[in-house]
Amino acid sequence: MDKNLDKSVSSPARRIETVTIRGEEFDLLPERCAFRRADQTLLASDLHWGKAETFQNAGLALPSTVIEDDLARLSFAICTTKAERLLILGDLIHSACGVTQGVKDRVSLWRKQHANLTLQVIRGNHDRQYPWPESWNIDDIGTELEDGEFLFTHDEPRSNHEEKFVWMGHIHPVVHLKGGGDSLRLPCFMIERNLGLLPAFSAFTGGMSIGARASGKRVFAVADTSVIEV
Amino acid sequence: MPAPKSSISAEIRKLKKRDEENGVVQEPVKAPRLVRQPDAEKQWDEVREKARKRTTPRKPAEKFKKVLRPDHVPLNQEAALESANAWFRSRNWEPFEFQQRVWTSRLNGESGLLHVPTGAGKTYAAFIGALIQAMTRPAKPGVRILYITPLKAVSRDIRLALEAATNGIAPAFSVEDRTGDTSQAARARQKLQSPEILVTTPESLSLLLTSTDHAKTFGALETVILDEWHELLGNKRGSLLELALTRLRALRPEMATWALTATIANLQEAAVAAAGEKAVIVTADLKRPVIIDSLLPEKIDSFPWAGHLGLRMSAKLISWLDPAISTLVFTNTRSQAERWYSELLTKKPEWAKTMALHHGSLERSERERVEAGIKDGSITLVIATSTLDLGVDFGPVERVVQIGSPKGIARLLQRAGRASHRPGAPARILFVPTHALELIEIASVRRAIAQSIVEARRPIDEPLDVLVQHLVTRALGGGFTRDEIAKEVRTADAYKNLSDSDLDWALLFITQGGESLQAYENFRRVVIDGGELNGTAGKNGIYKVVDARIARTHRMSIGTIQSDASIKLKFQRGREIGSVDEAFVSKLKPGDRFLFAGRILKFRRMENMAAIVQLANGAATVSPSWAGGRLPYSAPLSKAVRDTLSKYADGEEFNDPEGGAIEPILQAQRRLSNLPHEDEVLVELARTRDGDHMFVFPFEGRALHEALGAVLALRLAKRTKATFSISTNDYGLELLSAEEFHFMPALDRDLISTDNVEEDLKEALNLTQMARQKFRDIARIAGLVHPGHPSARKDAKQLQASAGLLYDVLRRYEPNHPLIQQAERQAMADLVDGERLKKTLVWLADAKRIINRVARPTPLGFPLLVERWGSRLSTESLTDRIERMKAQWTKI
Repeated sequence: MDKNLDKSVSSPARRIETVTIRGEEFDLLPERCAFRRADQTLLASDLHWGKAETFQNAGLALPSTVIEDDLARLSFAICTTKAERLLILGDLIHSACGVTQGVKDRVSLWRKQHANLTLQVIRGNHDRQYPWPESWNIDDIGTELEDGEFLFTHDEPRSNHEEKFVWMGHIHPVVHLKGGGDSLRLPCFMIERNLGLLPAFSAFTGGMSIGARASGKRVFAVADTSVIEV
Repeated sequence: MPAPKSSISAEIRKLKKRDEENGVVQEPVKAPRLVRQPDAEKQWDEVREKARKRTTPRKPAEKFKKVLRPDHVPLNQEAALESANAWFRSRNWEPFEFQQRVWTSRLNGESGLLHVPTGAGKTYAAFIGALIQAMTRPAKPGVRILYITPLKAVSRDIRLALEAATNGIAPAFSVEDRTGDTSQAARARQKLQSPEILVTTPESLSLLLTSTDHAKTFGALETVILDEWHELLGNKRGSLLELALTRLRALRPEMATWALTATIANLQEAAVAAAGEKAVIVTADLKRPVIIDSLLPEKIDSFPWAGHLGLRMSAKLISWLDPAISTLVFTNTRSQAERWYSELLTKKPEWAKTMALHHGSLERSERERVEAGIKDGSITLVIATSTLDLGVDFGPVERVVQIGSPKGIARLLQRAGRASHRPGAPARILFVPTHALELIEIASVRRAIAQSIVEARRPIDEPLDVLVQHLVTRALGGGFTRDEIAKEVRTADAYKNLSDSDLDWALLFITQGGESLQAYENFRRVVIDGGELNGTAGKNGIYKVVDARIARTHRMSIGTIQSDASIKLKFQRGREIGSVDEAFVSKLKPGDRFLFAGRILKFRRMENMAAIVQLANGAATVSPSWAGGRLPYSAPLSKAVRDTLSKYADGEEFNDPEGGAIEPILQAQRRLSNLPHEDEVLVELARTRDGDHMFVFPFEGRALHEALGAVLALRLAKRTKATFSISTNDYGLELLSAEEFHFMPALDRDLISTDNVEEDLKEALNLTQMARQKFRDIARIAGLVHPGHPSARKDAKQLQASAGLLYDVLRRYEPNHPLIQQAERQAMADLVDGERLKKTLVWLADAKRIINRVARPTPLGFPLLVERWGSRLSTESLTDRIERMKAQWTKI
């Protein structure tokens, strides 16, 4: 019963981290997304909308309400940062069969609430071909977006990127923390010299663990309402 | 320091590689879909075909030998009885009185439970009774007698035993078995023509019920025999079987059920669960005396006060063992069996050929080889775990050894009974202690046996996950209406009080996923034909499965009740050698060596959900772990130990064989502290450089002490800010505060009050975490996770999610989800028996407290000191925890 006995009472106080990359400031938010101050853009990746519905379609009863949390978190991040643009780094949806009329309607409603927001989507492996519903008002970027010093992509960039800083998703990074008989597994951001990994935005995702504390690599864990460098 | 320049692709490759190397097993990250060229597609097919050929060697087609059987002509009762008696005479046997009683009872149409010692002939009592009855019935196609065994491995042996009797008594009938290992050909044949007598397992029976023609197969059923019923009684496989039986009873209301069981305390309850209120109980006074000897250490002074392996006694045991005499050596855990096997092999390499290892994680073929070896005498020494507790008798076995505490009275009886059954000869078992206090335990077991005290097996109450699985099974096997199923499932003892709301929730769960229709818009599993889909089905609506894919998935998920998340161990060439826990593999690094199947294996990498290993030299660097390694300590045993100590405290003579060896320890305990009487609870307080310790000794088993320790720590920490380490064993618990803490003034009645005990327990034990673990099998049984089957097509990739993740999602969005609640109830009931905890608290409150300040740890307290600090109780937040961990790293 070792570590599972550990009992904690969380104290919610929002804490964000700001990193400077190529002279630009990025806020790493506990809502599992990043905010690029220079152009007031929120970056989020791997939302996997329709995942519960994909499961339902196969006879596995997962509630569609999962999306409510994602939308609420997204709205919260948009409102607190006053973002003008939301850039999705791929895997906005989980599968075509999961995007039911209900999901379409729910997202359309949410989209109306943020009608002034520019919603740009880079395609990921889960939505490579998907035709976006009209009412979502999506600016389809394709597979990559180059912007000054930065390259935004879902997974491994196809174009020449040696000199760019690449922001990507896809990996669903999580970090294992250990010490003093305690251990935790948390989604995280990872920043290297020329690579930034975003955590999966959806709470309904697993993850791939990345080692912490290597030189030249900064890892920021998302713990409840805080982002903490570990 | 600037990072070395690296390309992103290389970085990702590195990440992936490291992950693979670490063998991290988790939800796979969705890989980009391969854009396959036609050529690539073809190549891919070839690779797949090759792989398929390699992994499934073509078995020679099983030739069906048509056995010519005479036509069945119904006999009258006398003639049928006579043919049974004649068969007994032909073998120079005489039916026992209890066997004849069961026969008569069955002929009178009664159901019941038969309880006689192992090996006394209960199979033939129940089976021949059923056979005689079946002989009197008119010819009709279909299964007449269904024989259900919990052990797939012994179904063949059982079939052979039944066949011998059937060929002699009722040659018109055929006997076949049906398990997960039955060939496709045999299945097809059984479908065309059912055998009259079918041997199967609970899971295979459920699978048979998914077929639409099961009503035909079982339309002529007369008797169901439940072998080793006590093994099924207290778990979900038992619930699944009870539900399957309700279907059979609905088809054949006059069918009789006979359960066979070993010694348990609650025979009446077991009988009702198996065969209903009217069940008769047949027992025979065939008491087989049990003799327990102990292997005593030479010098008790140097014998350890704590430990669990017992290797110190190996030299003594080796000199006792005789390679010419067939012997079973039982250990409590698989890792203990591994260690002992390798110890014996090192010290007696000449025994290698006749010695073997047997535990549940070894590949089945290996286990079968060992079992066959015991039977034909080529293997004479087997180191085993509970896998050999049950099953058919091994004729040649003459001696049985138990290493370490048996943790329960019935278990020791069962194991002792594995030795040869010469009529009238006592069952004899040699006990090897792993530490000094176990000598007290074994003396207590002996006393309890003398007083006929044994544990009960409590049936579990209406698990909803199993109900859900059964409902889908029934929907597949022809469908049902709500009223029909409500009546049917309530005939199962476990579900007799099933509420309408629970049943309706289960029906809702399989038809629309959950209570709110909007939340499960896309859900398809069971449809209602001819009724309204919205919530309640019309009266005549038939619940059915129409989707072939869902039918396939469901069939795959039946029978996964008992399997835990384990990872196969394979050699590079593909040969499988067994399995270990997923959790163990996830901690392995390439190059780690561990002991398995008596060999040192080196972990190389993970490949397709299997751990690739190779033989290695050198010592093990890690030891494998398996879930369920710990056997629970039974309540009757705990009481027996307390009684024994009390007798010693009264100064009773040490006339137990262990007495002389125990005496010095008890004297030390008395000198340093006290020996508690049965109405006393002993508390010891000590201050060491580690901090302030409090030891409490309720002798209630580890699980209960963990719960009790957590509650006490929580209550103390609520009064005064403190952090406690809690460690526990089967005898007691220890709270340690690194900072100065005065336990004495805190020991009042409020501390052990039963008020709010459940709330405190939930708060202290992090119930969520435990329920999350419980949810693993609930999700699997209820069909919430996709059964990942090696042969399943890869198209299931988008449907992979761990049960833990599902638990988090459901708990968050549907906190009242009945399956989530079931997980919480189960976590409470399985890990910490709430009622037993309350009883212990009441007892603690009433008992006379002896509080001793001790200068150094006593024989009772010492084992708790050497236990690793099991758990902590503190009040830090998540961020505090991270900061504290970070502080730890900088220290290093």
